[in-house]
Amino acid sequence: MKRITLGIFFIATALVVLVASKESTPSTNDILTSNFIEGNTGIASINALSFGPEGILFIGDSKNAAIYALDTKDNASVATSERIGIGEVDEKIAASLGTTTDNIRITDMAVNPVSKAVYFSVNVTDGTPVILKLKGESFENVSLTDASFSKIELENAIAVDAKDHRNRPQRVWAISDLRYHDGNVLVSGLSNKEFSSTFRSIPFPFKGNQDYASLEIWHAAHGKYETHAPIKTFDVIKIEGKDYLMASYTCTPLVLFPMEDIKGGKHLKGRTVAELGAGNSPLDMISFEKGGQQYFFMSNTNRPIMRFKYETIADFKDTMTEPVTEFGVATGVAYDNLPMVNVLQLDNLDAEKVVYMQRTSSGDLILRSRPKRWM
Amino acid sequence: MYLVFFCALVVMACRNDASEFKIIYEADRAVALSLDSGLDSENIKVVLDTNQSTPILGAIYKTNDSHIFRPVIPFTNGQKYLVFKDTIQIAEFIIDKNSDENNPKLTAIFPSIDTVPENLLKMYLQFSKPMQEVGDALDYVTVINETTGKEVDVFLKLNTELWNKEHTMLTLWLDPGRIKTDLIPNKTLGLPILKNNTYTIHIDKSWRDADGLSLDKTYSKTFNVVERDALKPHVENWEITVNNAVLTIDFKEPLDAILVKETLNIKDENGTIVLGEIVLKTNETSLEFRPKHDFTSQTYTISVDSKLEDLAGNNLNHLFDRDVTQHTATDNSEYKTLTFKID
Repeated sequence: MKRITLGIFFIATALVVLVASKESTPSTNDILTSNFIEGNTGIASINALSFGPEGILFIGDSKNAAIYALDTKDNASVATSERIGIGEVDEKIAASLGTTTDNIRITDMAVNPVSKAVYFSVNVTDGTPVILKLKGESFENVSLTDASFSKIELENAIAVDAKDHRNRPQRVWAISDLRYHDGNVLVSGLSNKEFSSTFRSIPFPFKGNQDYASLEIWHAAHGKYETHAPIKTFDVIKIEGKDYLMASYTCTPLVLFPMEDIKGGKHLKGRTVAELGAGNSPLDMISFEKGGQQYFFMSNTNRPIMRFKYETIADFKDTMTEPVTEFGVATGVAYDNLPMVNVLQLDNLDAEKVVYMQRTSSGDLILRSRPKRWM
Repeated sequence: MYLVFFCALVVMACRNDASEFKIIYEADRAVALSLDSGLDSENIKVVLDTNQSTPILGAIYKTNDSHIFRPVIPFTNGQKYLVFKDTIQIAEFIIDKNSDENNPKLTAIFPSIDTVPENLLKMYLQFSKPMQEVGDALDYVTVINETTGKEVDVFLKLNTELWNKEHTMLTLWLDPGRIKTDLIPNKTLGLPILKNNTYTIHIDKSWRDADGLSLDKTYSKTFNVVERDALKPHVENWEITVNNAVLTIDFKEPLDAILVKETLNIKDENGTIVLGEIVLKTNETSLEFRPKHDFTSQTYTISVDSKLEDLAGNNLNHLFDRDVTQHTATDNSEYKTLTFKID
């Protein structure tokens, strides 16, 4: 009896210590979401998705000129994802929403690195924003009206002097890509008024401060003229211990900007390391390591997936200044074309696999996983 | 919230009691289905008649007198839906299409002038209603070079289209890479539009609005292209006429219809912005500003953000297409000002 009482005493003590330690040491999720509020997010449009830590999903909303952080509470850690192989993804998403494929558009895809679940943003004809989570071969709705979230409005999205309430046309700041990196949400976008490219870096958790830079590129076509072309997609890569923004533009320069310089509204000139041919637009970028080498991949509208070695990019010290004179010719850092065309969305699924959405030659929209060793 | 209840076509397939099903409309959209409260809501699913194996995502909740099924997105106009309880179909309904009189219209194409420079940078399409948020806008826009008789690609294709928040105005860029001298697209494809040629832009009637209704007709606008505009707008050249009730500014050239309204302010002697209405006139070559309260005897300042552009994207500080190796003196002032005096 005494032993039982003593046992109960020890268990109770252990529980008290456990509870106390839990109370005194909040989880990472608790810290990151401490300023989150519960309720209707008010998200009006979804242009880009990216997961941060602890199942927090970042959402770029062009209509509201704002970035939202949504606590998906999808926090159960999974090491390896099941294999994915689904046909007619657009048909299945449309049917799940009670409509037809001509009324939907899949705008982005992101994998939760904790749970390995795949999320999609979907536009519908009437503009209702939708986020769906893949579960097996079905989809679940991720509520945007009853959620835990925080929000930051993008600075300068509206002209500074337009404060006189004269119903002036509102500036549109369309978000083209978004990514979480090392405590910051990075956002690229373009304005409907002036043709310019602004890149923003917003510390998370959101506190109101944000940094931005206007980015300019030397177009290898001439080396004399600048352009304010908008970034289509980007990633952050580490070369020789230093973080660089790897930005890809329409028609298709690949340009490096040192991350440490993107601050204080600076006007930055990038270093063009490749011209990947006219008549093409980049769609998505991912990076991963395999066989001891770090790689960077880019999917395109009119070219196959391109594979670059970080090592090759690091070895390319120049900026391209020579004109490219022949249509469609690619120059600059070397890359490999992978046998994967019409890949619209691409992300890391787990340590061993990627997941991609592809329009096949028969017109079917498929979602598949693929071992990284075959990338 | 204001709800409109509307009885839908309901066919009771397998039940004899006269249970009632209603479609709930909000802002003319079929947002929910109301089911008889006497019905057990367990295992009820709503599906498309064309895909009965996929339950439509949504929430079922109970009110005082019914169960409500609210799908994630509103039911689609013209679509047929089935309601199942377990494996038995208990109802079907079709969402009525709206009447044709509500079809959207294209209310303006900017620039509205019919003669443009060959380095024209952008066009704006203004619609009467919010347009569809799926598909590619450029699928509905065709440009024909009337001089050659050929269809031409002139606009920059963007994954993220440049709509205003209401989704009623679209900005289309003529490919800037083709306008800027010596960039690859400029060298390989040439300018999007060429001087001494005539073009017609067609906006196809199959373009749908947010409710799925098509434009009331196909719209067309023909314009002639003249030599490039290689001059910045100069506020010093503007002609101002004013009386107590209206200020008129003649720009002497057409300016960007959207930027004009955003970049121009009238301030009184205290620096306070004068409230009023700006109306663009004569193909955006001039404007009328009518103050909310008449001007009084003092000197007013017209403040113009240097971002204001002409049709070729030349702003008040620099040309859109400039040779940056030419180290000419650059004006980087954020605003330009003019004054006028009311006696």
